[in-house]
Amino acid sequence: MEELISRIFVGMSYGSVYALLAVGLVLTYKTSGVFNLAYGAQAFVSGAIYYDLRVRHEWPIPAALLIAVFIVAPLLGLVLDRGLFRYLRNATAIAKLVTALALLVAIPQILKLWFGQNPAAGTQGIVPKGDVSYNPFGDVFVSRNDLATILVTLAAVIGLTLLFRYTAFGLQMRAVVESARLTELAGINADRVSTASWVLCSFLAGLAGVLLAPLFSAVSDLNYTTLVVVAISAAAVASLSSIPIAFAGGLGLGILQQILDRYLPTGSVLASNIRPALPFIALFLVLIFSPALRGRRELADPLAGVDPPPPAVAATVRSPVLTNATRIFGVVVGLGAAYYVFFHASGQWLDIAIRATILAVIFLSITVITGMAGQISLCQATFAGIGACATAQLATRFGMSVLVAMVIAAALSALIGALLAIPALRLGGIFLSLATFAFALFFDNVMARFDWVGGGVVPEEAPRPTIGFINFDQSDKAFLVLCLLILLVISVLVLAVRSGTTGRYLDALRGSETAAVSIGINAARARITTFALAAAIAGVGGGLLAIYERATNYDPNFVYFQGLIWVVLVVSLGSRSVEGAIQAAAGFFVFQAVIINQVVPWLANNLQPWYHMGQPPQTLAIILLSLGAFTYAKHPEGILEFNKRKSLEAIQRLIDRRSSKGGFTSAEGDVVDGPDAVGLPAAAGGPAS
Amino acid sequence: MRARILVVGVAIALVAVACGNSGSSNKTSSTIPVGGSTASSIDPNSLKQHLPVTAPGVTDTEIRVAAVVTKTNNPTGGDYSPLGDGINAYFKMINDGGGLYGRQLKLTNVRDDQLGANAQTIQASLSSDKAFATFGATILFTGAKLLGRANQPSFIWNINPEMAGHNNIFGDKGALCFKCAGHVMPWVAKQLGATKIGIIAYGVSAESTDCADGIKASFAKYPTAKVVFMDKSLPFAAPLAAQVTRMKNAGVQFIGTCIDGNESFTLGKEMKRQGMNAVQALPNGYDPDFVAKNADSFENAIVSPQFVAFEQTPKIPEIQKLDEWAQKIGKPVKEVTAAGWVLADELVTGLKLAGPSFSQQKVIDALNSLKAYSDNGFIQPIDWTKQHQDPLGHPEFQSELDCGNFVKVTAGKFVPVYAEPDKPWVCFNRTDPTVDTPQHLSFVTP
Repeated sequence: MEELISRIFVGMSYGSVYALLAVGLVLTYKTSGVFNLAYGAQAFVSGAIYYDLRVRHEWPIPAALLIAVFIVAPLLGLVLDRGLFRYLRNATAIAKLVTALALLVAIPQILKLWFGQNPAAGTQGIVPKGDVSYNPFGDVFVSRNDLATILVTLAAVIGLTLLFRYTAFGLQMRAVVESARLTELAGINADRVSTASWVLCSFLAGLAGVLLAPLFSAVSDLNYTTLVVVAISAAAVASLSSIPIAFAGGLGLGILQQILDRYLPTGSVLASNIRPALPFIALFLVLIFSPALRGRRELADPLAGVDPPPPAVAATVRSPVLTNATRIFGVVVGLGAAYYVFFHASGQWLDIAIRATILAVIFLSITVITGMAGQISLCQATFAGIGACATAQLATRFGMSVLVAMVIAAALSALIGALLAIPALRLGGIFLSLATFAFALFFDNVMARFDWVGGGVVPEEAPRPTIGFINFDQSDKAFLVLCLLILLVISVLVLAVRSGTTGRYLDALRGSETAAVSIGINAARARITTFALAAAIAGVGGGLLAIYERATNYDPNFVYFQGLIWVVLVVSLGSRSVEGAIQAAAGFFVFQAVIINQVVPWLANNLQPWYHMGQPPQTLAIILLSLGAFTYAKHPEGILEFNKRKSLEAIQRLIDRRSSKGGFTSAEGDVVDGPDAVGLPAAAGGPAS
Repeated sequence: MRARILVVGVAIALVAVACGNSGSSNKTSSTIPVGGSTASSIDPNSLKQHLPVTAPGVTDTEIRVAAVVTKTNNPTGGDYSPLGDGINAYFKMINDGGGLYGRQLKLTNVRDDQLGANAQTIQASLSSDKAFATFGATILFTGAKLLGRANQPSFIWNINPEMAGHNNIFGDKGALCFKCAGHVMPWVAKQLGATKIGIIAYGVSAESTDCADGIKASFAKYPTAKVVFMDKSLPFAAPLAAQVTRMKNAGVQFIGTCIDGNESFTLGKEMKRQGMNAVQALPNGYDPDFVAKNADSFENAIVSPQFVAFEQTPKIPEIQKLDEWAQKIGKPVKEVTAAGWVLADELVTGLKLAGPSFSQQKVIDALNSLKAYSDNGFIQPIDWTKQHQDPLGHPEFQSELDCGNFVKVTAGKFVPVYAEPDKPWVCFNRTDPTVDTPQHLSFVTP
């Protein structure tokens, strides 16, 4: 019993922080419609600043707390709302999620440019001598930090309760939570209330960030972003709507985690792999089995149903002249790049070309799941990892031809994708994304650790193939050709699916699911097919990468964070077209190799004399590319697609001016007038189609 | 990247260092080796001979090498770039003495693999740096195969099991074996009078769980104490309150840990909080600053560095030289710096043995002929005729000696323990069925 009480006390300490985070998540979601996946990153900001001031600069606790929690944290919330999310009020749930994802990726990387790239050890709490513990009875030990955390959380909850119950502002906030539109009808500025809620939630995140720090031995963004999963579970328990349930859920999960930590067996293989993943398993189970979430999409604008479907991609509606010109241009550029890579490039550039080609294959899976099906999956890296692991295992342990193994691995990925999709797709929207997020974390922490999956201490080997007289083990250039051929095949497959029945079904479902279902389209089947196809494509890409590196190498290539970066990159550059995926992959490596590694240091070292830049932090590339995702809400078709439309429009105008007819020929061969012919969206200067 | 993100492979370094039962050290004959490398057999005059050499990274005036290290995104918090300081200190010593074969040794580029991009970074280094040899200190050694295929002499701070199987990759230890049973931990337990052992490890790291299995196997083979608690299912950054309670209740006196330094700190704090008096075997704890800052949590902990501890007295000549030359280049001496020094010595030893018309292959072959390389007693002797191979299930690839040297944390400082004057190493013949007959040794050439 004493042990149980002791565990409950420790659990309350963790649970209090989870509860704060969960309350903030729900509050933000309800008042702004944003499921703030970056909430852990916000907490990390305050945790890091507090650490810097308190530990590195030895500021007194109140001053450090004041800056980190009472000034920086609310300010960050204000900036996020004013600078970003206020423009997303009427954006789609996916646009909000993508923006939050970009923040999740970018915020820690930006902060680490100042804070340092590695975890900082020696955290301190908000009370002096926080490690000193009290022993009220038996084996019950409670530290000053634990007590401080519990008491501060209680104070915060009491404060929130008073705010909500007894102040006019609290009343307004509750009203906005219930219905922003009705609140505005009553003359209340819902925007202002929402801004205040962002500030408040950011404050809670900052508080949680500072309270969490002493629970770990080091301040690390990984601790925050991973453990916020528990808070997400608590928010999911509350169906993202009830603040008290979210609070109780966070507290309960913290305690449950400690109790399970104490009483679950520690020696078995199952326990070894399951226990570290309890938060992710809990999230997944909550999402799948919570009746309140089943069938629920997200906070929906009632007018969302009459939103126009997304415009067709520019490539499908441009004139034949432009299409041919574009193709010729593409072929010339492609041949030029190929000539350089095959005849002049160094081993490093050949490496970049191969990796970019393989990544393009994986990115096509995001084109399928996001560009075609309109869903955000956060586990595409995991499917690629499954493909890599299965390819290596089948080839090495079973002596199978590695290319056959790769195909089987892709089928396995598809099967797992379909099995995941069956329960997850009932969720839809952000809940689907969260389920895929939980699956990715689960696979990283549990499955990939098994020897028969990832290979154990030394990653499983994956041999290069030999086809006839071509030994791909001896020539990276030959392997590049193989990768390009596979990319070509997958691209054709994706284009075929997009223009085929499934693609049209998905288009219809994106336009209006109700209408699509009413005409007999089986939404579940179409989406499961898409999910499986995307998983298979990712599996092929993962298998290829394993073959290229001659080993599985799960950790550096396929962990969930890679998947987040990939999603952000593809959707911000253009998830609806094949070339979007290819350009995103090429851009990912070329941007790093040229802009970050060469241009940035050159500029830094030639524009001023007092600072010499060596190797710039590579996270700079991630930051800049992530920030590109902020344009997603404005240009959901992607930056590339948007610019392609603009270019088309400009070229078309030029053609129009020179055309005696004043019109031009559309892809279908009809002669039409004006920019309608290229289906240009309003944002690009043309009418919304 | 990093993913952990990458929580993953995280504990690697820590764990590797933690396990005293790795398949490293010693030599082939049953006689205890007393010498270091065989460089002493080289004619000193030949070292000044300048002959034309056609090899990558070699000019008339220089022998250029490159390094790939994990500087950023290391989830354990470590910055391995001081490896370059150790290499530069050693090179300065050689260069100030006139260089080698009329050439200066130069570390031209130290690249950061940022944890997750080791393969790409090594590829970039192989393509662009045009180096004679590559040095490395990395968490995820995914570029091992590239270095292996390039057949370039490569020297790594060996915390990576991926090193095994590549005859051109050398380290400050032979190929690692996490699961192999060893004498050292049971012997330390015996010295401490501990009869009940606890083991904790991450469940999210294969290296960590294998390390836990290795410690358990060690006590099964050399039963100086009983393992009464084992938890190899920890999540990363676990609070450890429940584990400490259980160990306390089980009467654990000595804890074998397969976790990183930060988690060891958490363990120390939690033990203190619950009033548990047990000794930690610190895995990656040979960091004086870190231990000094957290003295309370590490008091009495035992650390076994990979090389002769700096605190051993009298200082062996190699440590004196390291101190001197590191000071000359204005760099502090850390664990990774010492690794850089040892690896640089390994390269120079290979070059000396290869002769004035050296080549990459000759250096590799020369080093692979050494049966007791020890950098003049700084590290345990390595038999490079066999220790490139993974010893798990192949005891013939293990050295015949199983050694450790130890320091104990006392008031935030490392204090040497269990050593005899001029004999810092405590060794056992690998075939010895007990830990009752340790031999105190030095591998310094008289």
